[in-house]
Amino acid sequence: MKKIAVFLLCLSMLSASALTAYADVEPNTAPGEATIGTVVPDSHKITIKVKGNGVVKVNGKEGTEFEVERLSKPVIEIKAKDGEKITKVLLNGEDITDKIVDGKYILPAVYEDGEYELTVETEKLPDDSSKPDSSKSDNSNKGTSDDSASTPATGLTASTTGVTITLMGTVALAAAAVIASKKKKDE
Amino acid sequence: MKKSRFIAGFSAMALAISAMSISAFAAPEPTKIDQTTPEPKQGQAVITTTIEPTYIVTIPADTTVAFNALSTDFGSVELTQARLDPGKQIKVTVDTDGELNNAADASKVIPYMVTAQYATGEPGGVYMPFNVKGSDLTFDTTGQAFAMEIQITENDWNKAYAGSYSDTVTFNVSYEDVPTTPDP
Repeated sequence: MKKIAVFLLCLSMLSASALTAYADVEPNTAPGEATIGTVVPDSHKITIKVKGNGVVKVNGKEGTEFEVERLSKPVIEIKAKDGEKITKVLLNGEDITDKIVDGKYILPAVYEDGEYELTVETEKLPDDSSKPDSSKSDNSNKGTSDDSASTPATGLTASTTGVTITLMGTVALAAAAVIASKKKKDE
Repeated sequence: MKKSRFIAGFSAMALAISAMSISAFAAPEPTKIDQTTPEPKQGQAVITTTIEPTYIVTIPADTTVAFNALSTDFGSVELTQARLDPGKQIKVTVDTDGELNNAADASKVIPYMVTAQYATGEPGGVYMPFNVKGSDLTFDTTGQAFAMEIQITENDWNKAYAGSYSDTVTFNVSYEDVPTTPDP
C-alpha cells in the first residue's frame, strides 16, 4: 500500500507543470469623475433710497434696507405726507405713477441684491386741508344768531360753506318778511 | 479489484496531464564561427525589446461655481505622460447631462455647459472653445491639454430657485487607433 501511494505521488509531481496562458488584451478604458456644485441664496438685500416727501414701506415695514425672499415680489407702499398729495413716482428714473394701485406698487421678482431709487413728487393739497378751521366756523355759524349778525348777511367769508350761505340768506328773508307784515298790520 | 482500477485510472490521468505542452525558456546558443564555417563567414544576432505603452491623463477636480458666475474655470484635461504605439492615440469623452440638480428638489435644475479649448498647438494658432457634449478630446503627444470651463447663462441664474445644486461629470479615457483619413 505504501509503495502504491509513493508511486502515485511521484506521478502527481510530474503532472505539476507550468502552463502558459494566452489572454486577449482589452482596450484600456478608465473613467474619472468630477463634481460641480453651487449654492443659490434664499434671500436678497434690497436698498430703497427715497427722494421727496413720500413715506415708503416695503412689505409693511419702514426702513431703507430690506431682506426679501429670493424670487418674491415685494410690495412697496407709497404715501404722501400730511397736507400733500402724490403727483408722480419714479423708480430708478422710470415713471411708475400709473402702475401704483391703492398706494401700492409690486416690484418684479427679486433674483439678486439691488438698490432702488424712489423719487416721490408731491404737491400741497388746496386749503381744504384747513378743514379743522372750516368745521369750527360752521359750528359757530349754526350756533348763534348774534354770530350771524356780526357776519355779513350774505355770509361772504372765506371759511363759510355754501350751505351756511343759504341758511343765512333764508333767515334774513324770513326776518324781513316778518317785519314787513308787522308794519302792514300797524298801518 | 476496485483498488487496482482506481490506481490504474489515477495513473493514466497523471500521465495525460504531464504529457501536455510545457513552455521551456532556454537561453539561445551563441553562434560560433571557425575554420570549418563555410564562406561567407558571417553570423547574425537579433536584438529585440518590448516597450509597453503607458500614459497618464489628468482630469479636472471637483469645482464650486460661485453664484451668478457666467463662466468658471474647470481646470484642464491633459496628457501629462505618454508613450504610445505608432498609430495610436488617447481619446477622452466627457459625459454630462448638462443640468445641476437641486439637492432638495430634483425637479429644480440649473442648465450648464462644459466647454473645452485646445490649450497647446502651433504658435499663432487660434482655437475656439467648443461644447464637449458630443465631442471627443484626442491626444497623441505628452503635454497636450484642453482648458475647460463651466458656463451658465444669466437668464438661467435669474430663474434659479434657492438651494444647493450639484452634478457629476464623467471623463472616459480610451486608447485607440488614430482614425485614418479616407483617400479623396
